[in-house]
Amino acid sequence: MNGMDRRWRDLLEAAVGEPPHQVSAKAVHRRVIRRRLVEAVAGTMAVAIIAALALAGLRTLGHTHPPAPATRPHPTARIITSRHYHYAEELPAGWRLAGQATQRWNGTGSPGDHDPQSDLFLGPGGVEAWAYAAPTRENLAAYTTTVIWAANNGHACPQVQQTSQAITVGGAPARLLAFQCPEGSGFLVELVVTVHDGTGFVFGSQNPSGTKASDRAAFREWLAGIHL
Amino acid sequence: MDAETEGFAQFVEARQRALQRTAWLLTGDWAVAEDLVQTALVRSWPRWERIRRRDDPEIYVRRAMVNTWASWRRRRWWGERPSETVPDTQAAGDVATEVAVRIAVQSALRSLSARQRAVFVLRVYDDLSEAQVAHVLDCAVGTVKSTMAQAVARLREDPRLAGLMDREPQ
Repeated sequence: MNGMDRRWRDLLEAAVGEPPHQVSAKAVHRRVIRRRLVEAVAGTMAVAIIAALALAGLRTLGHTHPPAPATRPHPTARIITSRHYHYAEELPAGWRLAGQATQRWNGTGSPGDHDPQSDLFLGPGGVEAWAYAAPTRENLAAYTTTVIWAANNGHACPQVQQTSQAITVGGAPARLLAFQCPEGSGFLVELVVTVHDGTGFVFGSQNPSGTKASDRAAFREWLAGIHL
Repeated sequence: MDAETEGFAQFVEARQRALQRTAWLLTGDWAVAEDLVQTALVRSWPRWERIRRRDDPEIYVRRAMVNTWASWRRRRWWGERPSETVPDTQAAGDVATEVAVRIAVQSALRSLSARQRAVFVLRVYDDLSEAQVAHVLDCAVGTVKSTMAQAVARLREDPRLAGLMDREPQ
């Protein structure tokens, strides 16, 4: 830390003062338990409401047969359509939409998970997936090179990936790229690039503490829900 | 109490003040700062053993804290707006200096973008290396360097802060 940094630090130190309350592990534990309870109650209530609605619907239709025991929510309830990019995602179990992009991507740079141009999804165990898209005249190979160049420029992702696989997303041919960003950080990022009807789509994934096989599997499940 | 719970409790006890101070510099409000630290810890606790084994827990919690703060800011109800005038008055004596410093710093930090503020606080106040800040913010080291330079340039333009920086250290 140089002299100027030290002056800045002293100034921040002088401004910040002492926190008025302590954060205790007990309080955190209580909040974890409360959160789990709320999630459980919300889940049970959702199932109960759906069951009640299903029953009411069957009665209205004049069905005389007893209702089926299954109370699974209707699959359309879990399909998200991107406001800006118009793909649809059929959410697998454990996934939810954290937020739609608040700005349309203009095709430059390499938006990250928390950038306003990205739709952000949260999955099991903290795994994240994000998506953005823009019109392109490039084919898949050229667009993939463009995306790699932008990721290298914006996030220090290496030009040479750990893996580069041909896959399909929503029925369209795609490339699945995996690299550590920055190189050697141990922090694995996966990007899926596809071009469909003149639009280049990028779907990314990462886990805050590094990607495990289960996280990669969760991302693939999420990818399987994409409709272009 | 099992070893994992005990380890987590020890971490919270040892680091909660420092985390709250960082959170205050990000949010400018002690109540929100306390909530932010708790939320980051609540998110970290279910995978504490894994974090402890594979990562630096403090870096992980700070990352959760910054990400949580960023997600709160994305919500529309987060009504923080920069202001030319601070609705506060100065008291007499030493308290006045203390309050003046606090107001000047808060106001200057509010003039920064979220990313600039996070980089500045983590780099200068928490003394994290550029690589560590890049890890916390999930960006390139080059981005940290340029963001830090932009933040410092902006803070230097703040006349009240410049006055405080020009003073001899106490």
